[in-house]
Amino acid sequence: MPLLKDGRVGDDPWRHPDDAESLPDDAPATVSLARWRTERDALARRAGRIGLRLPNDVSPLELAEDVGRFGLITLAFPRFTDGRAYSQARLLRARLGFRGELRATGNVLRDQLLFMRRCGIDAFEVGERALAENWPAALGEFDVFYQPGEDGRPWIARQRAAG
Amino acid sequence: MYRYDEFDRRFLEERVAQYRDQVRRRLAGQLSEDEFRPLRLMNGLYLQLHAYMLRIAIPYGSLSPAKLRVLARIARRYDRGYGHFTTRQNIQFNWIKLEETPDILAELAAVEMHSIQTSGNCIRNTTADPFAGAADDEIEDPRPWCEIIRQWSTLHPEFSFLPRKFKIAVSAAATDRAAVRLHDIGLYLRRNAAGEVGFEVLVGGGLGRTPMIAKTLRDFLPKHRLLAYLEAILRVYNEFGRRDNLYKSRIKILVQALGIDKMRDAVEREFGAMGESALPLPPATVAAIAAHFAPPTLAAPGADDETELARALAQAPALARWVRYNVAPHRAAGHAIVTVSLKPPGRPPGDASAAQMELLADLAERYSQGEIRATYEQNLVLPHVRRRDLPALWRHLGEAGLATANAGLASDIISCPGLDYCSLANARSIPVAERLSRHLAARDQEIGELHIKISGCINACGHHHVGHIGILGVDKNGEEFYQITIGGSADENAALGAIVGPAVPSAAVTGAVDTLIGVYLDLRREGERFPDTYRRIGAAPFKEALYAAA
Amino acid sequence: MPHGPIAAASRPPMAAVATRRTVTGNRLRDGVPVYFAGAGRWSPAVAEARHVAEAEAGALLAEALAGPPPHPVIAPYLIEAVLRDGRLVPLGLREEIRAFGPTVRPAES
Repeated sequence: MPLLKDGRVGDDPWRHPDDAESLPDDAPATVSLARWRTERDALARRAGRIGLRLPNDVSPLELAEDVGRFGLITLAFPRFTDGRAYSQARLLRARLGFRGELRATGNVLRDQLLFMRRCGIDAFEVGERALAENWPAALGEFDVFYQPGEDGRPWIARQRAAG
Repeated sequence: MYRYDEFDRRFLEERVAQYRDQVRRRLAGQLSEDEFRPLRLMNGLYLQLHAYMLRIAIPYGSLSPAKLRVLARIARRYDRGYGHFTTRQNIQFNWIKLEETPDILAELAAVEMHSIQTSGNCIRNTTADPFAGAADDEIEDPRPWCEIIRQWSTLHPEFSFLPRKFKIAVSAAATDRAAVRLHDIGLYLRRNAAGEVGFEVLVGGGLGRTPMIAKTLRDFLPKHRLLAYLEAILRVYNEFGRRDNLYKSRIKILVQALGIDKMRDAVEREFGAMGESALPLPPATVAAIAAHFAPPTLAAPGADDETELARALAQAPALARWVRYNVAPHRAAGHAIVTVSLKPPGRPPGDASAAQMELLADLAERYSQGEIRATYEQNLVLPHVRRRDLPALWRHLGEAGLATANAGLASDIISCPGLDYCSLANARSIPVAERLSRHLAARDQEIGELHIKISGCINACGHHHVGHIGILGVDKNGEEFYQITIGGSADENAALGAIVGPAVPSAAVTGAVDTLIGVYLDLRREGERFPDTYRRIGAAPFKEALYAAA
Repeated sequence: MPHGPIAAASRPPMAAVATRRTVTGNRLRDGVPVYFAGAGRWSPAVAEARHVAEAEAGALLAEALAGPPPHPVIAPYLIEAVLRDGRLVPLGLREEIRAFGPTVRPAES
């Protein structure tokens, strides 16, 4: 599935094998939370980078010890109306200091991208429409934000303080 | 009143541009209705029976003359010449064209208004005491806190796809005029033993299919921690609120399932983990917002103000009656708070024509320091009127059909739009309200304070659960029936009404309400309001009268 | 718009009358209730609606739904209606109100 990241739509360099499949030797790959929990030590010794597919009904705070090991955490939006992963993203960035890629997967819509970006999600699994409909532009539709965000852009309190 | 700065203005311009592009994409076929619906709802645009309906936010019920004039202009230019003030201090226009909505939002933006988050599973417009800044019984003006909440909640990236809608109310007065206990989060400004002012935080109130009264989550929250605490509550709700069943997804159901103590533990744990520095509200920030709500400079009353007024009252019994019911005490000597009733007998509750809105804008400038408020009871308020001006104001209002002397009385009925407009409704509400108010108006004074509230479906926009007499429209095999509840109350002693018995057909509603009022009048003791009598004597005498008679 | 059908608060049972089927929905650009008039045309007047017997309802709906996006009508659906004195009247209070307007008089403008 195409990936929107850094303002461009491109291919996904990560693999996402099922629990039954063996992992590629050195290519970056994600695992389910269940697999991570059972194979944690072996996975941590692996040469290739490791990522985690985090379901949206598990608190990221349960992974506080582990987040530094992941190059990628994927978050799930099974339906666009299910907004649990927004809170997961903010907790991962602000509370746990996760610095790797945070990727939205599932029912990702153009008009949600900026909310996701402000919560710290920096990559988006998108459909083929993303290019035709210029989805990257959605990230630039606002430059005033009423809340602090996790994307490095200032929020209104700082803008006001700067005059 | 809060005035936008350059950032607020830019934000709103960006929002209008974003929405204009969303509408363009929809009309060009790039967005399906399923994809577009949440986008239009985030801007308060519903599809109703006859057209789109646009719900415009009146932040915490505060309006200026300029804002009211633009609402009048929208009524004339884009609608059919009138608007409907809602039970959440907003206004709805019923005959809107999708293709014109970007222009409407641009006109609103020019007067610092919008329709952001008047729908959708997000944080809605904050409800506030319509007498704020004028009431003689408040600790401090709650509006700066409402504005702080408004800004914080506007397009909140984490809380725009909650399990369900989320409503917050703030009051700082002894009398609750904002139905605080019926909100997802209720905030009462309170003074603690040390004399400091902070918030009592309540959670889990709401109407709808499973009505509940909010419970206290925290007795006292220092004011500067407000946003962090709200964020902690919302984060717990976003994580644990149910998403599998529309009717069990409000925070009240989560509070009920966990119990208030476990809910408190979860919120306090998150609040603690956020740290002291989360979402700070430094005194300078609060002061800058509060400065927008500085009390108006009111002239000292003239020596003969009261004798002049007394003479006018003596000469005009209708004026005296209006002053008795529609005028409330103001904290400043010689001034009063005026409720402008939008409930003429036999007419749709809460409707105002463009001409009426324009007149009220003029009268607010002339008599009320340029301030107008909307109430959840679907009336308007002129909060700063000099008492000697009351007769002149009353005459002007009367010429426009706005001097109905019934605030808080039986004919001052709350009603949702019902099946005449709303696609969710199961039965009509407005015709029932019209018949009742026409019937009861003549007995308003005899009956005294009485709150009748009508909803056309279980979503309870007409707050029927908390009416002294509540009326809920239901569909029985294609016929409109109405279920009646008694003993509800929306104030600081909020209570849910009890169902009196089987639903009655439409034609029997007025008679049934008459019967219930008759029992109250027969059995009430001196000074008792309807719910007081009900609490003392119970439901049995009412039920007997209603169903034995049939 | 007359409110004849609604004025009669309690209507006689319809069992004896053969009901018709017609397709309605709200127009995308302005939300106005419209009725499928055939040949790709939609009309705000229920009198212009094409109506068919129940057996042909599926075909009528399919015809109404045809066409490239955006469809001019949001989520068209079938409703039941009856011919009363030669006039097509949708069944059910909701559809009557959609067809003929609110039963209440709004504020004077």
